[in-house]
Amino acid sequence: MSQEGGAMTRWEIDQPRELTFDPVRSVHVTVVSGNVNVVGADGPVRLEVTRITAPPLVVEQEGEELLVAYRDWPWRGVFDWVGKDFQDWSWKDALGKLARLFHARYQADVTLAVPYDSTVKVNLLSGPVVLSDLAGEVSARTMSGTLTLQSLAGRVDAEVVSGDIEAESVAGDLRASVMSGSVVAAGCLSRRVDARATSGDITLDLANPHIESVAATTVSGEVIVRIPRDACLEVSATAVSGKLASAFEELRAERGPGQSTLSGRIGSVPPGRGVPGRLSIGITSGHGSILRSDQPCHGAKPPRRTCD
Amino acid sequence: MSPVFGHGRLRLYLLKLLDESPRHGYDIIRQLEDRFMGLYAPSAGTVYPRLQRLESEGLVTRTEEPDGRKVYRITEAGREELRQRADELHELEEELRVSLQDLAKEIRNEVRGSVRNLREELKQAAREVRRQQRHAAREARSAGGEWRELASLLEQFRFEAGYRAREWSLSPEQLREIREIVQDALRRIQEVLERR
Repeated sequence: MSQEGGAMTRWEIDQPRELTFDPVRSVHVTVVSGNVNVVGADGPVRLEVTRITAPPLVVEQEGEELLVAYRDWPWRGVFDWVGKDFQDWSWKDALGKLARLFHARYQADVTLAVPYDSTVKVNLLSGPVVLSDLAGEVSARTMSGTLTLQSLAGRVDAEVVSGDIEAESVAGDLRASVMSGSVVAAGCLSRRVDARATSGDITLDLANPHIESVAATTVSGEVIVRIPRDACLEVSATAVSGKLASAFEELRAERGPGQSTLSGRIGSVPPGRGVPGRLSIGITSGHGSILRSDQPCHGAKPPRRTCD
Repeated sequence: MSPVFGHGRLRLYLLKLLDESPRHGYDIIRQLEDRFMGLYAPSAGTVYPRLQRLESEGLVTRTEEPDGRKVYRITEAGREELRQRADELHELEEELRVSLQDLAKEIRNEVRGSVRNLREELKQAAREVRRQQRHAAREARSAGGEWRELASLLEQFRFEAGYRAREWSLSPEQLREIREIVQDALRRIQEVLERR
């Protein structure tokens, strides 16, 4: 199953099976509903399709790129729309529901083992996604289902319309947005985090003292950010309705007519470092808390692989 | 990595691999890796001593090819052990069918477990911080509210000054000047307090 140069090889999969491929650097999976998992591993690229209903899935390998998708699927365009970072969530939601309605029979469970440094892109209308042990740039979108991110060293772009984003040991820049559902990042080593929810809680346990910018915004839900005690941050938090609290005395709390704010600087810039990082929290309705972790870096394990 | 190969099971699996066909030592190691999706990669130091042991027990034979590589073959006695342990082998193979998907499921459950614990822990901590803050606010209102405000002003000043001082390296003259300013400020604060 190998090929030379840029030639394209393709397989049609209409029943559960396993395939092995030559190493690739980029993987793109677009399916309708089911489970999609991509894990970094040693050895050749392996694809495991454990469940599939008609029609067949098409797998194409062209050079260092591997594509898993349906052929001529008329709704493929949906993902292009979703991918354009549409801010209008209700659109996405409606599109997802419509597409699911028409394509209830497009079901497949797909699991891939790929080299650690692969670039991975997963688009799914409905179902859970697991991405683990990767050092390349990853992007995952599902309209409904949990997104699990573990041990990722590269940039992460995660989006869920309805469902949770659960992340552990993510070290690359993290962008996580959900419409309805929560975002939780445990042992997060990222320097830049942008977490957004429309309706849902955001919980960030930051373990990297050298934070550059962290933003957490939710329309309705609770935001909790725990930061290392040796971090140096310029904080600005606002809540329209809800209480803001922090474990840092140096932050100033103000209660204005329309909103409460919490701002100030935490820690001091270590000599030789330019500016403090930024932490911003925005809540329309819900509580916000900034907590301090007791250990400088509490038990966060770095991803098993890193980019270099 | 869970101990898939406890209790003489690696030995059993080696016999099974050799029952499929005669193999080189290197091939055996690769076969093991492939079948366990790279999740288990036995080292030569694990495999060779076991092959030697099987050889000394007469369950496999070793022949050397013209190019110097060694080929292992199962003997009739080896096949007999395989037959006797057929149930055990079957069980082992079932366990080894841990597919990639099962692995992914395990990852999902593991992450779910840890993020949910974390969420609970932090929610609890956040409640505690809010409670303390309420308590502090009440205290400040009832007595010494002004003092707390002053304290926070001073704290803020200390941070600001400390930060700036660190940003620039101070000369002794600058330090003397700043000391004078601070002492002057202290004196003036004293005056303000005495006016009351």
